Amino acid sequence: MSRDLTIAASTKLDGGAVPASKAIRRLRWFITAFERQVDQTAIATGISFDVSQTALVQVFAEWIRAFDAQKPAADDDRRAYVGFAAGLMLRALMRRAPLTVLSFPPDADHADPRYFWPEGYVYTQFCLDGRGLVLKQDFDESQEVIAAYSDVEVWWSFKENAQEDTNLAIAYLEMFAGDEPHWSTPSNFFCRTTKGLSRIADVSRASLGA
Amino acid sequence: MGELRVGLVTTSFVLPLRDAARGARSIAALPERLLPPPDEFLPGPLRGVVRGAVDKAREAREHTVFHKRPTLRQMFAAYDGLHGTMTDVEAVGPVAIIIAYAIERTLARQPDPGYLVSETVVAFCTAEALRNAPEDATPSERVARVLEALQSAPVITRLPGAGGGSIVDDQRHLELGLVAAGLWFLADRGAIDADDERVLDLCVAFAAEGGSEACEAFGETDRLASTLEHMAAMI
Repeated sequence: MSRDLTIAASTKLDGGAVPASKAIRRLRWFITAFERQVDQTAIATGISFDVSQTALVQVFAEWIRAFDAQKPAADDDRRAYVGFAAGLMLRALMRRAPLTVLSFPPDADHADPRYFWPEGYVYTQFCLDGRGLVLKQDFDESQEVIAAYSDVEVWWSFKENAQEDTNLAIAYLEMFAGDEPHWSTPSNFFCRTTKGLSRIADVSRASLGA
Repeated sequence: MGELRVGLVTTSFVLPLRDAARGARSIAALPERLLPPPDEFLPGPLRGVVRGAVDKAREAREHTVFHKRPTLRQMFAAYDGLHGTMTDVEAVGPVAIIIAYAIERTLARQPDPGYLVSETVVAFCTAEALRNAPEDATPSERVARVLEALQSAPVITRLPGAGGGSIVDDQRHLELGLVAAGLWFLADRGAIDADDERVLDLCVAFAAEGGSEACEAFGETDRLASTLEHMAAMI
């Protein structure tokens, strides 16, 4: 059964007067928006969560370091970096795990991804919403989440793989968002840049010629 | 310069009293940590007396006003003070309260928070740093100068009987507490409101996670100012 697991990003992650791409890089906004995401999921599902503020600050600090480390200089790569940065956020959330499920409602349907892996769902939805909002504001682009996002079997594989290697969370987010997932080099942005793609093409041509 | 001295005279009675009360609160916390294992071995009647004393000490600590966060008025005055919209004399007291609180919150994150923070020392160093700051100094430069003055001052003291790490660790905790206060002073906000209490706690947590670069910049005022400014933009 296909379920609509998404919530309109603009209803939750509004940065107010500050553009979303800037607001998202502020600790206060990040914590408030994340807590709002948790509250909305709790209301929609009946699941109750505990949120660790300490872990949230750790997530933000880890994410901002990773964000600054690979931020591209070329304007051509900005669009691709929005998706990549959302993946970095998902990786940091998976690593620091700020959420704990306290209880499920009696009628919880564990074939629904939200009940199958509630923490993973909140982390992923938060990152998708942030990604969607920045793409809308900065590139006038609508995010189309793939149909498999509501397939619990996909989430089963996502959970297992991401728990084994958190870098893969970046590729899964790309897949859910309808982008080309980078399964072999998920944490390397250079492979997604104009320059990187051209270098890869050169290397491929050279190896074919040899 | 003379005006500032007059200002300090008015606070010179209040600040040591605040430090004394803060010390009483901290020392009152000690028996709770030190006694529980031995009291198991005491004879019944004596155990009751010891436990009663510990309970009284805990009660005293919980009722002291110095356990409270800075008030909105203090936060407002401190923020204005370091942004140059208030005279240095008026600013010193509230600024010292914010800085001392940020250091206390940082120390409270340690496994054995047996420290005393001197608001008096903080106030005197702050006054000195503000007095020596150039008139055209930016807010981040003023903040950096104040923090640098405090970094080498005897702001924290380990309480007798408390365990803990090395002097190097103590210095690191002090620096992270100072960075936290600096972030709070420089963080962008529309207005000081009730949410600012939370902002101060977030600054403490963020400094603990990402404050290393700022700690390394102590001693280079311009670098410290720009690092704090960069970090504060993320709050």
